[in-house]
Amino acid sequence: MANTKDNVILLVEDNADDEALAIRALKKNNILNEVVVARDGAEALDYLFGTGAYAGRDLTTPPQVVLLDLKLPKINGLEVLKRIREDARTRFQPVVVLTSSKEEQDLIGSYSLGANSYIRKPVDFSQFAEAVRQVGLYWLVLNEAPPKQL
Amino acid sequence: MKSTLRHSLLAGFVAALALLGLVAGFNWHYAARTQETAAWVAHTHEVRDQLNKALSSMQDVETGERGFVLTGIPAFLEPYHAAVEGVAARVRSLRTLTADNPEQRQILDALELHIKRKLDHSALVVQLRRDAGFALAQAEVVSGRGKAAMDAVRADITRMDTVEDTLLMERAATARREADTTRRLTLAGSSLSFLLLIAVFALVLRENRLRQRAEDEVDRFFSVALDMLCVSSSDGYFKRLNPAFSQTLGWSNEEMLARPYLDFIHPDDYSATLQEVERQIAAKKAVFNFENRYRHKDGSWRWLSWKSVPQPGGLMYATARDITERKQVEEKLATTTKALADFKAALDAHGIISIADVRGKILHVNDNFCAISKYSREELLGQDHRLINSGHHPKAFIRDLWQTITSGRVWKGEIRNRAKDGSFYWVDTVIMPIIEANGKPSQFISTRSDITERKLAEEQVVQLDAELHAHAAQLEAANKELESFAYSVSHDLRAPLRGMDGFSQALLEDYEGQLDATGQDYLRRVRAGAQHMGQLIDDLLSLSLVTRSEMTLDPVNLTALARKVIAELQPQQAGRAVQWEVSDPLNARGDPRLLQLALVNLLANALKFTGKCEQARIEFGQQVQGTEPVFFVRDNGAGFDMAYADRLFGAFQRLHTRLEFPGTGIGLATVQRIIHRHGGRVWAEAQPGKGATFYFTLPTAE
Repeated sequence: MANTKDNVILLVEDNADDEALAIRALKKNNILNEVVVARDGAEALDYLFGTGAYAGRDLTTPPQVVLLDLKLPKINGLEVLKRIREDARTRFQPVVVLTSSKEEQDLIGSYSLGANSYIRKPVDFSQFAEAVRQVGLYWLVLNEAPPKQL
Repeated sequence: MKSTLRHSLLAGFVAALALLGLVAGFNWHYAARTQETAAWVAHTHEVRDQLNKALSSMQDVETGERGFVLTGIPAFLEPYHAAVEGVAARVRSLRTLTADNPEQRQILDALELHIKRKLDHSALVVQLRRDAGFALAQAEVVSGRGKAAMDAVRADITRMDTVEDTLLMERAATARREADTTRRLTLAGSSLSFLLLIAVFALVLRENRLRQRAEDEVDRFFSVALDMLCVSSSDGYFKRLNPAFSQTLGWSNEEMLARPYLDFIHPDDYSATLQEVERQIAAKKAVFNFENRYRHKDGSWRWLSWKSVPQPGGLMYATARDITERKQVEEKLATTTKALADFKAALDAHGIISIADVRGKILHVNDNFCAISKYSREELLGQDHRLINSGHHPKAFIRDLWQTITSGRVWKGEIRNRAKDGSFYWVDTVIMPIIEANGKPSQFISTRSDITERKLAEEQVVQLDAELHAHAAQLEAANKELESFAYSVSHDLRAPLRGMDGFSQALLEDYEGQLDATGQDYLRRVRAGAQHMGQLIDDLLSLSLVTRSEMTLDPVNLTALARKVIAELQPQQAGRAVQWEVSDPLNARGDPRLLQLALVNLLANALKFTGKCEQARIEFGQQVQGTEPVFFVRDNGAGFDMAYADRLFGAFQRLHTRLEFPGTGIGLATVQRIIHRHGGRVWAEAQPGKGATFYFTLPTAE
């Protein structure tokens, strides 16, 4: 598995349990990339654009993948996705929506804003771990990231 | 002009006749005078004859006297005596002849005296001769007394002769003068009357010529007149006909003149015609205006309208006009009029009708109008239509109405009016302007039908609609709420379950050695509980989705859909012997997604409840119950007791324990909601241990 420090995973998740479970699932699947956790939408955007707490961050290394929950404090997931796609610096950023819901409005909203994938978090942790394994395999290993400077 | 001419002719004739009479009178008079003159000439001659005879007798007396004297022979006295007698007769005769002439009578008196003197002298001489002898007698003769007396007689006779001659001359001259006058008068009178007669003759000729011309004109008129002209007589025949008769009736003149005119008259018109003729003859001066039918040579009947004037001698002058076309037009008019009247009656029976003038004044209303407006006709006529204005419509509405109809267009619309008792009624109205030749409307005809009930119903509909909208809004609000609830459930309710399951798993993995079998079992039960609740939440969401989602109605191939579902169910039947039977074709109309969800639930149910069968058999097909096509899903599985059938489709209702058959009890509730949303029905028949059949109906595919 790819495990270079460069390939950061940005996990946008407000629920500490889900965060812990996600990180456990990643670890269980030997995905050792650095996981940056943003606990609300605003924090996620700060990280991505080097603002706020992340002011001055080197933006030349974008996250390998953003795992984005939808129901978030401050700025919700769809809005975060929208801003990512609107900004030239992040418009090719791979974003995988990882959320509890499979409501139609969420699915349509995510895909129409340019989500690369939509994964529903199962209740069964075994299934959840399997999903995380596959996401990691796909986005961190198989998928070719877009060129860094466009 | 004509009477002047006639007067001239008459005057000419009278003048000519008078002149001729005058001439005849003159001639008569002249003839009489001539006769008289002739008589006077004869008279004169007779007088002179008598005078001569008297003289001759006197000379005879002298001769006889002298002879006797000389001879003394008595025989010489015989002429003497005869002459004395003759003289007396001559004198008597002369006295008669000259009775009317005093001058002659006077001379005659002298003559008579002289004759007596001579005769007396002669008698003396004779006496002397006889008695005294010759000498004395001779002396007496020589004395000359006898000669003087004789000379006096001669002188008297000559005088009378001269007088008579002069008279004769005078009378002859008078007669000549009168004859000349008469000749002249006769010539003048004859000439004048001749001229007069010539003039009269010329006038008569001229009049005759004019009359002939007039007659020719009359004849020509008679011939060219479009009207039929005829003369008929009391014997029932035509005497004369103009060509219009044969042109109109097709018969030749000869044919029509040869038969009584009644032969040509329609049998139905016989008596009326005869009556009319008799009436007219009786009244004499009546000019009648009468219609009857004459037979055309081609067998058809022509209507004729007659005008006639009876003439003396039983003749009748008549004109007739072919009014067949007019009659036909009248008939057609009558038919049309009747049709119009029927039409009007139908309209009156059905509609509420009024006619108004250009100012809106009511000129006519029908009974329906009075009935609905509750005004009497008298109250309405002459009134303005505003009388029934309800004030409901805005001014612009009324203005538009007036602009439309005054510009000659038909206005259609619905109007609310107010009846006399203040109640309102609605009429569906069509106002049609009557356009005159000048292009402007003169009247407006309004036909209406009572739509009050419909309007009330519409108002109710509007009200119901408003209520419905309110309900819909409430429903929508409720749906929104449900939506956000579901959203929230979807996101938030499952997260804790993931935590419970995830950390239980973490415990089992990371602390396996520190937990005994019971502890591990408990953790597994926590996980199972969490997972079951996750399933419950998912099922609830899909149940709510059935209610929340938009629904389409498309043709759906249920066979294909079922096969797809069966394919997806393959993992759950691993290691089992399951016989699927799906009829083909099965078509319906509905929402493909919802129907798929229903089929998933039904087929998965069947698969689940046949789980304990050695040979599972699941059938999806269609049958007709009554007239209705019904779909069914039949299995030979566990079945159920029909006593609980009413609980079958309730959410969270289960007829088996989760140990027997796992499940949330939401599947059939979802099926029922889907079928109900499609307007169908769903029910089940089952026997414990002998399988179950689920029936449902759907709108059929078209």
